[in-house]
Amino acid sequence: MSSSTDSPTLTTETTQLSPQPDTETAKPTKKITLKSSDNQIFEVEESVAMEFATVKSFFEDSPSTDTVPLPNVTAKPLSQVIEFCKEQIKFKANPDEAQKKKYNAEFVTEKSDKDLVDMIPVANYLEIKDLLDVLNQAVADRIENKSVEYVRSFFGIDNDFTAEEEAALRREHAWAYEGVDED
Amino acid sequence: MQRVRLSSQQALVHRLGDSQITLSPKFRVAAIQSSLLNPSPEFELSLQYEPLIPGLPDDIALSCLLRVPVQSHASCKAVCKRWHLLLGNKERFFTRRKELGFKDPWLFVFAFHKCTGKIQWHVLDLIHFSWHVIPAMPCKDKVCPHGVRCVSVANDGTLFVCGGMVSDVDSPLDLVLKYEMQKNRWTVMNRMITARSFFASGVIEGMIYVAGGNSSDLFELDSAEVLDPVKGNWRRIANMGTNMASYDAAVLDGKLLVTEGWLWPFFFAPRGQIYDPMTDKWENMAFGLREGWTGSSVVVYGRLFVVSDLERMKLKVYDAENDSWETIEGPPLPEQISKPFAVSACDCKIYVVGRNLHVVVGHISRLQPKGICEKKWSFSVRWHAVDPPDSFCDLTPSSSQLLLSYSDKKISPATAQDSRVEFCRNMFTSSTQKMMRYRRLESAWPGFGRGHLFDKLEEAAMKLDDLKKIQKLFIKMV
Repeated sequence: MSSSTDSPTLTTETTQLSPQPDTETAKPTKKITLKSSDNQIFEVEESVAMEFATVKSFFEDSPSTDTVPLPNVTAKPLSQVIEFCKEQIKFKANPDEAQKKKYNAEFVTEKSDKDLVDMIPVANYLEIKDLLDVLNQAVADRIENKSVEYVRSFFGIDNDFTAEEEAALRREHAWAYEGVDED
Repeated sequence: MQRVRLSSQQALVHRLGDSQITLSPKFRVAAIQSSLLNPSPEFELSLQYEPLIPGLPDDIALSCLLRVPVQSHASCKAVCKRWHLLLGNKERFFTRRKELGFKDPWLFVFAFHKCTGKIQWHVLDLIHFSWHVIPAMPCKDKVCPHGVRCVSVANDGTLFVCGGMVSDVDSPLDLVLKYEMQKNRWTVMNRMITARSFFASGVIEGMIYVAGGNSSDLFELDSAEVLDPVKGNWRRIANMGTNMASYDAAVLDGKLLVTEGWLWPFFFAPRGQIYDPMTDKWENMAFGLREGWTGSSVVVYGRLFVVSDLERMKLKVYDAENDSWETIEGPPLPEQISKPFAVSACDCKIYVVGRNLHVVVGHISRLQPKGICEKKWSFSVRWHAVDPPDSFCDLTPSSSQLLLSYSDKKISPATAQDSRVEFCRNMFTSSTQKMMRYRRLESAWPGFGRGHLFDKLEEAAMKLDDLKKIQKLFIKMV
């Protein structure tokens, strides 16, 4: 998981990105416009947009465009994803594992359950592997030691057990229903 | 004898209505088995189109669920049928984890107390950077911490400790021990054909090769042998062609590289041999390679890196094309690390363990070649240090091995071991709460099952010689 940041492809990106902070003041960086499914417009720096593998490949295919439509993505999770990527770029330019870990932990703890689950398909669609790892782990952490009902409502999963099966399960794992954390 | 006792209690236990028993195959009672516990292929197929988590592609949902710690499985598998299928079977769960490449690296450090020479293994969880202990090695002789060679098959989570010598006596050993991370257990393996210490060792395609080393007489060894860890037998391979002990060895491109290292008074460049298992032949090592090999080696990105024994030297990498060594960009080895140190690597990180078990992690990044004509990669390294607990201030490392664990990271071999000991201690006074914890552990840690409980009970019974009392206790517990 943590090794993903060190994969060769990402490392090469680091070298491309590292001069970014120096040039920032010298000349204005290129902005890229992202359009969410609910027609909200986001203007982000090119370096941030390049964190999104999907957007990156879009640009490689048609470099002349300036607005990227994102038909599968709504505004709220997108703004959160952009916020995350902006921070990650800072860490890439200035690596500090401890600080990065702390930020990632804070980023997910302050999000509501819904925000968290909403962000996953966005991170998946935009192919931001680091964020996906962080989110998946956060989801696993949130359902750890929770009641069955809590987990079902967390994901909106229907209970497809028959009454008998459920009763059997409950009997079998009676202890699993005790001592869970408060929902 | 144990079985007889079990069966005599089966009816009783069943009557008490504890269906926990289904967790352990020993206790499986036919009446409790259902289609949920033994899903038929048709049943699995019928669920194939149900999403694991609505709104998420299954691969992403899997990536979430496979991170759920084993303790929470029991409640999570009651969520819906598909979850039950995934989490209901531990084997299936861990197979899927392995498929998706979830692995937690653990650093096993073979260390000894600088005054007493007592050998102990300390294990560093490289995700949380917490230290753990494992059981002591089962050896009768007092083994000298030097001259032993450790090798690991990282992906299998196994570790082998070979040879060495008996303390205070200069006689080499042929002892081979295996440690399995999954079982948190040592096993004594077949002995080596030749007893040796200070020899070369390496793993190629899962086979363990050893070569040269000090023998029981004045001469160094020329012989080499290989262990098939699955079959468990040693087999001779071609002799090295020269008698030598090994200072360091590495496996590069499927070949075993052995160097004797610089020897005082440094008149001659060290000898070096390379073994190719495909042809079963040894050849001489290139001059530049053996001359510049002045420290402990690791292989990262398919290249040989050496952490120099000379203090405050920078990391260097071997360039096979020019038979030369290049210095890596970045700071030298941090000051925390003092000799002797042990080096190992995983992916693109190298781990150096120094005196007092100070650990530094070096992140090696590969920089893309600048021009198109210049095809060579260049490397740079960043170090960061992990401070050891104060209690390690008298320990000196002798080897470090990296193992990968595909199982749940929250239950480490060491913590489970600790809880197991604690459990046994509290066995006779177990309150309801403790019992709950035990049950959670039992479902999380397969070795920590009723079998083990019975072993302990039996042990207690032997000691107390009061079987009835123990039986009563057992009934109370379940």
